[in-house]
Amino acid sequence: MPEFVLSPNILVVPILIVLIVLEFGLSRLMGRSVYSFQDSITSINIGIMSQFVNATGAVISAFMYAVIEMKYGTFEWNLASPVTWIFALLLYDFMYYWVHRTGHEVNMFWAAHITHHSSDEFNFSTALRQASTGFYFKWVFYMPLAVLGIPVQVFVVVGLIDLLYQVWVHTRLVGRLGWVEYVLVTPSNHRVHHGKNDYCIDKNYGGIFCTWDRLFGTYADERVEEPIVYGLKKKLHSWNPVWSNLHYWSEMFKKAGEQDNWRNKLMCFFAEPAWSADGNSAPKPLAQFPATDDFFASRTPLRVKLSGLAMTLFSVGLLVFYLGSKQSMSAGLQIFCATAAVCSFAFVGYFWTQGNKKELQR
Amino acid sequence: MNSLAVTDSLLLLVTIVVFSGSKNSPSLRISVAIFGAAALLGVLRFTGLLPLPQMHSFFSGLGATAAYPLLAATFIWSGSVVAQRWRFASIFFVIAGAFGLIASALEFALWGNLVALVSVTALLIHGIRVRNVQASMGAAALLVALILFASKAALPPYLQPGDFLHVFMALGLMLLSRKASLAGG
Repeated sequence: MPEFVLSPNILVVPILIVLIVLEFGLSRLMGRSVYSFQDSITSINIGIMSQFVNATGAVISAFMYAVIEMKYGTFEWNLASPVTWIFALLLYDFMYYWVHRTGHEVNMFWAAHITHHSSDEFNFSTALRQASTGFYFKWVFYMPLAVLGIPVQVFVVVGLIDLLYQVWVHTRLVGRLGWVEYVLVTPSNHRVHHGKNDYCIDKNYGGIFCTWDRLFGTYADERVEEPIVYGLKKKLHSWNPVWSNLHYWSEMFKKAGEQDNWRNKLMCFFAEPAWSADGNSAPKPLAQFPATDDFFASRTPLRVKLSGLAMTLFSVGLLVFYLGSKQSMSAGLQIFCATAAVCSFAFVGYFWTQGNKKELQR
Repeated sequence: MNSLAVTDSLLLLVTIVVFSGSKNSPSLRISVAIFGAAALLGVLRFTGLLPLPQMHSFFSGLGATAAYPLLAATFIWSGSVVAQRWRFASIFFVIAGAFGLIASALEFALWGNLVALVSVTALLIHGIRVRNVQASMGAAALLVALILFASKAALPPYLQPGDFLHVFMALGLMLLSRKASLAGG
């Protein structure tokens, strides 16, 4: 039996559950509906799956960071000094801005990040809807911290702070926050980031500070007169956590396969997501996409709901066990566990989606 | 202060000149900026003003693994999006740099030398194929720089292996950038 260690990311799990329950309860008290059952279940399971995959993927990032810091780390930093932590957090957040911007503006990175935007809702469960395929490129952007010699433990902690800060901004229940809007990422300006209204596209990439957006011209204020519509312009039509991670990769490779020259094939991967071979690269306006959607509007059958709830409870338990035990597992066993989790999510996700589609056909 | 500080200063000066004269060529600007950063760190290091040997070594490695291929792309595919648009030049640079970092982490030290050598050789072949004397001479100077550095050629006590690298690189970049400005790039 592997040894169980209570790591910080395990302690985060109950906090996230409490936050979701609180937001749900508060929204009910306010007479607002900000949660849809199957969408939230899918978001949570996408988050759990990403933890299974990224718990191993993050090791690659940490390894690369540690090696580069050891080889090229230029300065000594005092861990007891607040200056070290503040500087590291600022620099991390600045690099996060570019990671995030690249994730939206370069097609093969958008293929990973699109998962986070595939929900039609916007609530704390959306914050958990994280990609399982993004770890392969993000580490590169944080290498300036390693070259400056910021110790790996500082990098990990400020990374966790940056990530956790972003949970609370995924809510529709908090309005505008006055002067704070000028400095920090807030629920209001992050709602814009998740919107598919034309004015929201490619805006507000900041993690903790919105200063970077203001500096680089990607900031947009929420417009009271134009309610935000969340999600993707081209809807996903699936509750499958695995497919939500892979659908855009599949589309991208298909599109590249259809091109008749190498230049265009490469452009499918490295150009902006709206790129097309005919030269019309401007994002299509929202008005061109259907406003109503049968798949999301259809009633989710009870058996799908119950299996969703059961799977979520089971996979939360499994994740906690996995995160607590993985230090004593071999790399092979870790990869096996992550693969097994992905396979079971693929199977159950297929059942959920089919359940909804059958309901639609009735 | 030693000879390396002097020859690094020369390289730094050339990169500044090439950088300021290549407004319409983002890929050339990025590659000479990296060479320039390495040269500046070299000047600081060898004059003893602010020795940051790890950072100098990092930028030198980045120059070999990412700036050389970007330089080659600038001239070989001068009509490509990599040569003409900041966005694609940056993506090319980040990806080439990532491979360099992976090679460095895996202790595959030969990677940087190989990438630089292949890039410069491709530049030379391209220069000869398009019969551009200036570009060919520029690429040949870069090739000589790499060969002399790899073979640790020196003229003790006056010139060290790094000096040949700096001087021939400066010459090569100057000649290549003249070619770019002649082509309107």
